[in-house]
Amino acid sequence: MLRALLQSSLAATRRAVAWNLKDLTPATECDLFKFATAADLIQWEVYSDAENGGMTTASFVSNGDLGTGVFAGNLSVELMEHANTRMRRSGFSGIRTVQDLNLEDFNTIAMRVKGDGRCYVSTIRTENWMGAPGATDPNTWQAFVFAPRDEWSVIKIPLARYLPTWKGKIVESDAEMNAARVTGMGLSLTAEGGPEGGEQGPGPFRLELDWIKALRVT
Amino acid sequence: MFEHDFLAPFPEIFLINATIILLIYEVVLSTSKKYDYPPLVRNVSWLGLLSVVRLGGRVWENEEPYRYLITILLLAANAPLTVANLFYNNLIINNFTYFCQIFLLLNTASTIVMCLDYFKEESLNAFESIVLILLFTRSMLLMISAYDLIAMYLAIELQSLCFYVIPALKRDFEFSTEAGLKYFILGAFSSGILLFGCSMIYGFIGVTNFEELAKIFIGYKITLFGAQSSGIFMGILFIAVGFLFKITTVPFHMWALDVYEGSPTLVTTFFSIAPKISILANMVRVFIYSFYDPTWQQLFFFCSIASMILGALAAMAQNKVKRLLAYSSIGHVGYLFIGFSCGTIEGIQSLLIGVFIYVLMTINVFAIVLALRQNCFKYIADLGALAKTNPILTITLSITMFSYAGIPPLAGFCSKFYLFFVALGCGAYLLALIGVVTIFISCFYYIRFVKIMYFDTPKTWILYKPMDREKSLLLAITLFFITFFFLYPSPFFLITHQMALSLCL
Repeated sequence: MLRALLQSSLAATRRAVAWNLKDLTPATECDLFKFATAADLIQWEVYSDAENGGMTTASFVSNGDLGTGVFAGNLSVELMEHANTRMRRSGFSGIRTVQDLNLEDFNTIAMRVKGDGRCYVSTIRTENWMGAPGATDPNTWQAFVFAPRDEWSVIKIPLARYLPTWKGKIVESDAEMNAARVTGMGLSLTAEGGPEGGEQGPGPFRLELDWIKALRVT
Repeated sequence: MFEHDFLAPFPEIFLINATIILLIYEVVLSTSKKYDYPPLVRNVSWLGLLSVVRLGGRVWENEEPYRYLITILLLAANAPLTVANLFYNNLIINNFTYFCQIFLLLNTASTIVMCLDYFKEESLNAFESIVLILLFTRSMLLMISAYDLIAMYLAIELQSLCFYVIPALKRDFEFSTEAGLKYFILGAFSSGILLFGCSMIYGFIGVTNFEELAKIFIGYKITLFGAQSSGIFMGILFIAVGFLFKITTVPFHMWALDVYEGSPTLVTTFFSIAPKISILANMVRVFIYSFYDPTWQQLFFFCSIASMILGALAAMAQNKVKRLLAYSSIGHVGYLFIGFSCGTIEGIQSLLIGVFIYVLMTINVFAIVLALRQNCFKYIADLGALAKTNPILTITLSITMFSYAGIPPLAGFCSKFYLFFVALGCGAYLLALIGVVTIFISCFYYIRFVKIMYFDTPKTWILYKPMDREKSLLLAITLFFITFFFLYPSPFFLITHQMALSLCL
C-alpha cells in the first residue's frame, strides 16, 4: 500500500513538474460500459411490467460471437387476470444499472447500437440533494434514443438534452444535471408514447448494444 | 448612550436601511404586473454599489477633513466620532476598525462591480443575492467593531446566515445546492463550537467583554495542565477551532474545496475575499488583545505550516481553475497566519499588509476568471494560446500570477517578504523556512499558468468575447496597484502600523 502511495505520489509530482498540457486537459473520452461478456452484463438488471402483472417478456443476454449485449423481448399491453390494479398502463421494459459515475468532465453520452426502428429512452439517474429528508429516490433524466433498424450506428446525446422526469413525465423546470453525481443509467422502451417516426405498439423488440461512452465534445 | 451610540455606527445603520429599502423596492417592482415583471438584478446591483460606496469616509475630529478612498467613493456619513466604545462596550470604533471597514467596503464594491455583468451572462435574475451581499457586508462591519463575545457571535451568525444561502444561488443546479448544504452544515457546526467556547469562557470567568478579558488574562498562564484553567483553556480552544473553520485553515479546510467549486463563480470570489478580512480582524482582537498567551501560538504555528504545505502541494495536482484557486487561498491563509501567530505589533502589521495585497490579487484573478467564463472556462488547459487571442488579459493574469508566486518587485513579494521578516524577528525560523520552501513549490503551478497561456496550443481554440467596462476598470486598478506598489509603499505601511498600534495600545 505504501509502495502504491509512493508511486502515485511520484507520478503526480512528475505530472506537476513536467507541465504537459495533456496532463492538465481532462480526457475527451471515457468507456462507461461494454457488453462483450456475460460478466459485463451482470451489473445490468432487466425489468418490465411483468413484475406488476403485465405480460411483457424481456431479456438481456450476451451475443458472445460479436461481443455485444442483446436486449430483446416482446412488449404486451395486456394485463394478467390477477394483476396489480394500481398499474394503469402496461407495455414497458428496460435495463438499468446502479453504478456511481463522475461525468463532470464530459458533455455527451455516446452509444453504439443496432436497433429495430423503435425509439428507446436513455435514462441517467443522479443523486437527489433537493428531495425531502430521508428520500432515497434519485433524480431521473431521460432522453430519446432513436435506434435505426438493422444497422449499427453511434448515437450521441448531449447531456444538456436530457430532461428531468418524474414517473415518466417531464418536469417543467430549468434544472441542470449534476453530472458529477450519477448513480445509474438505463435504457427502456414503451409500447405507447414516444416521438413520431419510431415504431410503436406492442410486439417484439430487439436492441443490440456494443458500448456506451462518455465524450467531451467541444 | 443615545447621545453618541447611534451616531457613531451611522454607516451600519445607513446600510441596513438601504438594504431594507432595496429589498422592498425589488420585491414590489419585480412582482408588478404593470411593469411587466422586470428583471431587476442589474438595477439593484448599481443601487447596492451606490449604497456601499456611500459609506466610506469619516472626518477626523479636530482636524482638516481628510477624505480617504478618493478613487471611487462618494463622500459619506461624516461621523464625528472616530474613537469610541458603543452600546455598553459591545462595539468599539478605533483606527483599526475604521480602516478595516473601509477596506471591506472597497472589496464589497469590487465584488458588486464584478457581478454586474455576471447576472446578465448567466441569465440569473437573482436580485436577492445583492441584498444578501449587503446584509453580509453589514454583518462584517459589525464583526470588525465587535468588542464583546456576544456581539462577536451575533455578528458571525449574521454573516453566516447570509453566507449559507448564496452558494446555492443557482437553484436549478444541484451542484450549487450541494455546495450550499455542505457549507450550511459545516458552518453551523463551527458556529456551534465557537458559541460553546464563548459559553465556557463566560461560565469560568463571568465576563464576555474583550477589554475585561484582557485585564483578567494579563499574567494569567493558560495551560492545559493548570487545574484551574482547564475550562478556560478548552473554551479558548473551541473559539480558536470555530474561527479556524471559518477561515479555512488546515486541518479545518475540507469544506472549502467543494463549496468553492460548487458555488457560482461570483460567490467563490466573495468567499475568497470578504470573510478573510472580517474574521482575521476579529481573531486578532480576540487572540492578541484578549487571550494573549504563548499557548495559542503553537496551535497557530501548526495551522500556518500545515496550510502552507497543503496549499502548495495539493494545488499542484489540480487541473480545475476554481479548485486550484481554493487551494491557493488556503495556502495564502497559511502565509497570513505567520504574521498572526507571531503576536507582535509588526506581526499584526504584516498580517494587515498581507490581507490587503492578497485581496487585491484575488479580485484581479477572479475578475479574469469571470471575464473568461463565457465559454465555460473550467480547466487550466482552457487558457491555452490566450496570449494570441487576448494579449492584454494574458499580461494581466501573468503579472498577477507572478505576484501570487512572490516574484519581486510585485506586491505579492512585498507582503511575503514582510511576513517572513516578522517571523525571523520573533524567532520563528522554521515558519519562515517552510514559508520560503512552499512559495518555491507554489511557483510551479502559478507560473504554469503563464507557460500555458504563452507556449501551449490547445486542441480547440477558444475565442473569448471582450469583457465589460466595469471589470476592465477593476482589473486596471488592481493591476496598477500590484505592479507599482513597491515604488511607494510607505503610506500603506504607516496606515497598517497605526492600525496595529491602535489595537495593542
